[in-house]
Amino acid sequence: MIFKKRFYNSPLFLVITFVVSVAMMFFISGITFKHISSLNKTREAVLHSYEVTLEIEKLFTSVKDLEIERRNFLLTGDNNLVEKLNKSKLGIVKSINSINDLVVDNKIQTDHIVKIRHLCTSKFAIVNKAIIDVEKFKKDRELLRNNLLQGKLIMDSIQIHVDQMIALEDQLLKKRHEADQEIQSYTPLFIYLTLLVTLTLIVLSFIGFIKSYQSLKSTHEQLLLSNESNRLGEFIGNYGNWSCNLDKNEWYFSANLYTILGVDPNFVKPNFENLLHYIHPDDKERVKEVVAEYQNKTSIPDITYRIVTPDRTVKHVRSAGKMITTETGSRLIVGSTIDVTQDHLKNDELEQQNRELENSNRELSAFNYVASHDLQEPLRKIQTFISRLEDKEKDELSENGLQYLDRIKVAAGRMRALIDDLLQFSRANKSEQVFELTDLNVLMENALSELNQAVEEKQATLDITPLPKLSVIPFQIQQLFINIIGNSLKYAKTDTPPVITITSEIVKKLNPVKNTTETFHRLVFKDNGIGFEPEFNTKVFELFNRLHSREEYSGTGIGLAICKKIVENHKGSIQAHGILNEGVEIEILLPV
Amino acid sequence: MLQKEYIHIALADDDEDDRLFFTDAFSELKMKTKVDTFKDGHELMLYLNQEDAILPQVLFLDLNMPRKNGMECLQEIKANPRFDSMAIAIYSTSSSEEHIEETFVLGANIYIKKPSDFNALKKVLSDVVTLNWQYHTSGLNKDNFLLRM
Repeated sequence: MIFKKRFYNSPLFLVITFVVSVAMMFFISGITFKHISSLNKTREAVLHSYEVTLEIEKLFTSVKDLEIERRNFLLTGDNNLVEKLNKSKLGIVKSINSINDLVVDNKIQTDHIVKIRHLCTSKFAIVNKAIIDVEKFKKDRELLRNNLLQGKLIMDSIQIHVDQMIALEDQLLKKRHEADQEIQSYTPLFIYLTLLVTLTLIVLSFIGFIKSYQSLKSTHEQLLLSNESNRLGEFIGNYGNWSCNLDKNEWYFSANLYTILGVDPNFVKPNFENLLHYIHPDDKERVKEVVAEYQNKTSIPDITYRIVTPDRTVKHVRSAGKMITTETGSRLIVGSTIDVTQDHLKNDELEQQNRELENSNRELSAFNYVASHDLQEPLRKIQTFISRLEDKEKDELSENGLQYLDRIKVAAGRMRALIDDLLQFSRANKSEQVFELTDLNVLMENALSELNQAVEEKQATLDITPLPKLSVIPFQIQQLFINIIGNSLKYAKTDTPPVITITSEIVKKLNPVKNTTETFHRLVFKDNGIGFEPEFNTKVFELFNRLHSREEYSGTGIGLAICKKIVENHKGSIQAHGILNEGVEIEILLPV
Repeated sequence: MLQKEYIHIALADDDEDDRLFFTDAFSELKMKTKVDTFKDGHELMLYLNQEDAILPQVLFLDLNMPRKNGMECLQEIKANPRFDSMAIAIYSTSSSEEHIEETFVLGANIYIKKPSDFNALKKVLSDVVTLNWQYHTSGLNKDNFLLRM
């Protein structure tokens, strides 16, 4: 059905119907011509037959006239009749000649005419004899009777030939009529049928033509529409189209391409030489090379270059092209050129900002490291001197003095904790750490052995499910475990020994940006400590952010910030869910 | 060690306070030790390179020093077979991974982070000096290189 429809609308169908129709027309005209000429022939033949019959009858009448005149002459002897007789003879000869001319194609009729001519000659001899012997006949009746009898016999013979000739002509006429009748009987039907077929074909091809025309019209409309939207797209997207017929070296530039070049379409012919005129001198060679490649390559690489418009504005543009071969076999390059100046500028700006940001980040972390590292030195001295004072001068100091010394010791201890944490934070910031496939159970063991003292002091219970093997930065993950479990121990309720459960499972999560599911290891650390209000769920990860006063709980407000940094280094995520007086759940997602 | 009257110990550290803590600690330890201190690496190497110098059994080396730092001293000492008998303890404020790694590779025997408590310092120094170096060095690896307290 589809094939039929397609065939019906195809140009091939139209051509076929047209050719068949024309052939039919020729056929019909041929037949008609043949028919008409045959009719003409019949008509001519009929006319001829009539003419022949007429001439024969005329001849016979003349012969009869001659006989009557001869008899009259014999009876009357009037000499005036001699002249008439001679005239009749002349008329008969003429008649015979013209009949002979008419029937020259017919052997039988010619034979008849030869015989008639012969008989007439005999007849003339008798007539001449009558003229000469008219006086003799007056005397001799017998002779006269003989002459008359002879004349009658000849007359009869002529009569017979004439009758035969007329009969033959009649017969011929009849035959022609019959043949004619036959042609005439089937020709009209045949012509009519052929005409009908032709008409059908013409109607069909007309319908096909109308359909093709309609589809052509709608295609044309679509083309107009897409042309218009293309033009709009070019305008909005700041790009221009071009094409080049490689075989004819004919170029086409779209209106917006001219706009990008900053020139009037009416004054610049679309060709490569003119385009080259607007390309930045430093980029000309490069563009030429790429265009030269058009000749022998089907895929053409993108190229970014600069153009200089007549008002000396430099624009960055990118061109891409593709070679196609049309149905007629000519090779075309179609391509687009997009103005990327804005992108370029933005990119430059972004790169600049990025560099600045990177620099300031580097400076900041270097500063952090140096500051915390160099602060250690004097602090260590202070602490050592404090221990010296405590050891050696304890007895010399007053009550107050001892109290002050104690305060100094606590403050120095706090400073030590801050500096240690800051150092750790700055180390977590360094990105050049090496990932190793590590058994997290081992890291957990190490972490717990570091926390051993606190665990024992608080009489904590730990419930840990087996952990996976992952590619991680081992010391960072160990630090992560220490910090989280350390927090659970530190923020335990005073009256309830801490219970910490650590679970691990594999989860799949939808990445909303890439729209793919990704697999993660989900580690959950759950405690039964003092917890916090859910509104602090994100705040706890901020640097130096503390939820409790220093007197209640010691801490620097760096621990969870370090955790966050570590998890981010591993492309994972960390979340806290706190419930006041019930505990905290820390959820960590690490990619597989 | 019993045959020897004194244990010779040397320290190169540019910090006066640290040198003071160091000598104080040894004098309080009441061990039979002879302690030499040097203000920087340059001074240390000048001394060591004397033909008749009495070589210390244990050399404590600070890393961050003017003129010649601890790392350079370590390299020079390890390049000279005359000093093969010396045990070298790195004695530094820093406990950065890079420093520990580098000094281990260069052939130091132990890495000590300067303690911030005088009693802790005394304990560390006594531990280090009485360490069986032969035994320690034969089983030396990156994990026991850093002396933990």
